[in-house]
Amino acid sequence: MKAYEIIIFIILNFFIFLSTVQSKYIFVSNENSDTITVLNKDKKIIKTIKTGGRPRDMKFSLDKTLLYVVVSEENHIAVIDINSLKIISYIKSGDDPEIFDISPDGKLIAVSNEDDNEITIIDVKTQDKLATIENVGVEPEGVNFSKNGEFIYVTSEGTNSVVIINTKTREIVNEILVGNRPRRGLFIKDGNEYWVSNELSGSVTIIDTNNLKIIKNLYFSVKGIRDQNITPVDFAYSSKLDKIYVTLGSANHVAVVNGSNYNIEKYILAGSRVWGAALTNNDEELIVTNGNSDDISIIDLIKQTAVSSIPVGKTPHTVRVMK
Amino acid sequence: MKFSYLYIIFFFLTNHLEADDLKIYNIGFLDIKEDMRYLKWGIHPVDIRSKLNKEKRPIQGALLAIEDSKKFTRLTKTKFLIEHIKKKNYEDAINFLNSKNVKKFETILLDLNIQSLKYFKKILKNNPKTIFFNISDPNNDIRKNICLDNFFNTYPSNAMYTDSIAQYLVKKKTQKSLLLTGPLVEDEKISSSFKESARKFGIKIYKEKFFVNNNDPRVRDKNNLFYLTKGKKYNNVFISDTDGEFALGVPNATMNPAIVSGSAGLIAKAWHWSYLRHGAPQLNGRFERMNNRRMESKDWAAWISIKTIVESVLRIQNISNKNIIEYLKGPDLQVDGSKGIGLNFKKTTNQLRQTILLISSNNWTTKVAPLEEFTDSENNLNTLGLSYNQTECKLEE
Repeated sequence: MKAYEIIIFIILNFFIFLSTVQSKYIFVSNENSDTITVLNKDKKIIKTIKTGGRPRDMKFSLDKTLLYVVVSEENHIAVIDINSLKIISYIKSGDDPEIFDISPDGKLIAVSNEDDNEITIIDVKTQDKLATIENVGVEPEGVNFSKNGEFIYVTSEGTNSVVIINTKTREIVNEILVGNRPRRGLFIKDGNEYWVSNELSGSVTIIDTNNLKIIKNLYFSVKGIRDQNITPVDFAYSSKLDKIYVTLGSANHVAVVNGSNYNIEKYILAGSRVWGAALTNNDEELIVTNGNSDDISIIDLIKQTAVSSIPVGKTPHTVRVMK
Repeated sequence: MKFSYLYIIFFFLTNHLEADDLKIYNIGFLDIKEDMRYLKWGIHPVDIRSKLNKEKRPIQGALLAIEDSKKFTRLTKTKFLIEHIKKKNYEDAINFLNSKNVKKFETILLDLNIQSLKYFKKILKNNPKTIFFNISDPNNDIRKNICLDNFFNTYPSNAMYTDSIAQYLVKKKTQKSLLLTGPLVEDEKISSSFKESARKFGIKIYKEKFFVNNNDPRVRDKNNLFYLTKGKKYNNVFISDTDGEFALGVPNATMNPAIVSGSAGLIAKAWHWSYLRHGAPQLNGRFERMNNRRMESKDWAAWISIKTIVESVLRIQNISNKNIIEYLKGPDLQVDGSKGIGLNFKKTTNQLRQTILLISSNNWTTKVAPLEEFTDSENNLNTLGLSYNQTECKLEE
């Protein structure tokens, strides 16, 4: 390789690096103003997309060309084309959809129907409803496909448990008792651990997915805040740094947890009732939604402090960053 | 067809096996037909005469809890059964509680306006293995005098209700009260509870007046708001009116501009359908689909009573009442009542700590008590209701 080839190679790689560092868009769903706020990489609001009644969870398609949004009161999932930032279609989701996940192969959507105590499984390609799984506890919320897509884990708020469904047979194969009011789940360490946020216990239950045993119950304690106001909800995970960020709801803080030794390293102050969370800027920044102050906080993870807050719509729920 | 009996035997066998796998926990729900609280008190005067009016009995909240409990079966391995024990009047209900039939139930929910407390306490004491829940009587004296391990209050006390209102009045800097008390014993109980709350939170009661709900011109000082609310020395009116009809006319009719609270205006409730947070819409939705009406405070209290039992069985994996009582009274109980905070019982009074909703006449949750300005060294929910020292329980220890 000649010298100029090496230089070109380095320059090209630098640009590729730049493009991966900067996020293209940030999406925030506002459940009480029925909109999605779209911000650009400079965190300027560039568009507000009207979705209809109560948009909540959002996920990208595998090829990152589409954004799926559950619109709870309309009983469907809106599909947003990321190029045009317009809704291009709707998928029927069953009643009152709340949280959903897309299978690792991109073929299935599993969505929790909180009011009906059901999980609906949808074929992404045909947009047909394939199955409804009943008896998943009272008020199912968090939904996650396991790493290979073999199982669907559902957190059931009213029954304090995680229900495990075999994706193929659609049968409930196991149920694990966790803390009180489990809200969301997160697979980490290559799918070997499943973390569950227990809103009313102020804790996270860590489950070993190989033997379904509880490894640890991690209790949070923030100085100056009552334990009963520590209400964990959402997660963000940096595999690069092996850190898990847990939003603590009414405690208005985000906990930083070390993935290898489960130590809680820091509590970072965010806005009022912090819920949704997503990483950006090469895992150096965390964006969180503050449900009671109608804004998002940008947290600098190197300085470990919030550096700005940006007003969005009413009651921001979920944030997703396009990397 | 020849072997059809075999199928029948097989069917019974499998059913039997299934039932054998699950433990059974029996719950009774005791209420009476002649209960003014559902026939007249607090019911809108138009509704009383309306064909659309339905009695809003909290058995429906209990039935929802039983329905919900089925979703726990995989983990509790227990079937919770309920029997509605309907009696004609209070005496019949007491006779039932004195009978051996009580032993059929592990837990009994009491939907009664409890009379003669000493005697009632004796009955409960005679059944120490049964767990009782008071799901509808707010009387402070029950909390002050019945301190038994097997008796729990899930319905808020009058003290919790009047403390919630008092906190709100202090926050709004309207601390000069005119107290209007109705003719029923229950009205007096509410007013005396408000007086205790006023002392606790620094509200000055400028005057207490007693009203009657009639049009007699000879007692217009008692039935006419012009006379009842004249003067300018108050900035809020607290009204105790269990019947409720007179109170309806008080907001917007006081001679001096004032916040009206108590039985009209701003009303303290354990539950209301306008609460939109913490999974409340889901609970309301389940109740409405099942019962075709909206969920109210007593429904909620019945629902949460059974839920605390289910939660205990779920956590301790055991259906013995001895262990359940231990768990209910212990520090680990954090039951989710869709109020956004883990709920548990106060020591000795066995009153369920909970947030109270302050509901406006426009059916809106104006505020949730305890207000954030009122704090307690142990648990902020303790700023509502009677503290340990205000009860007889201490003396019995």
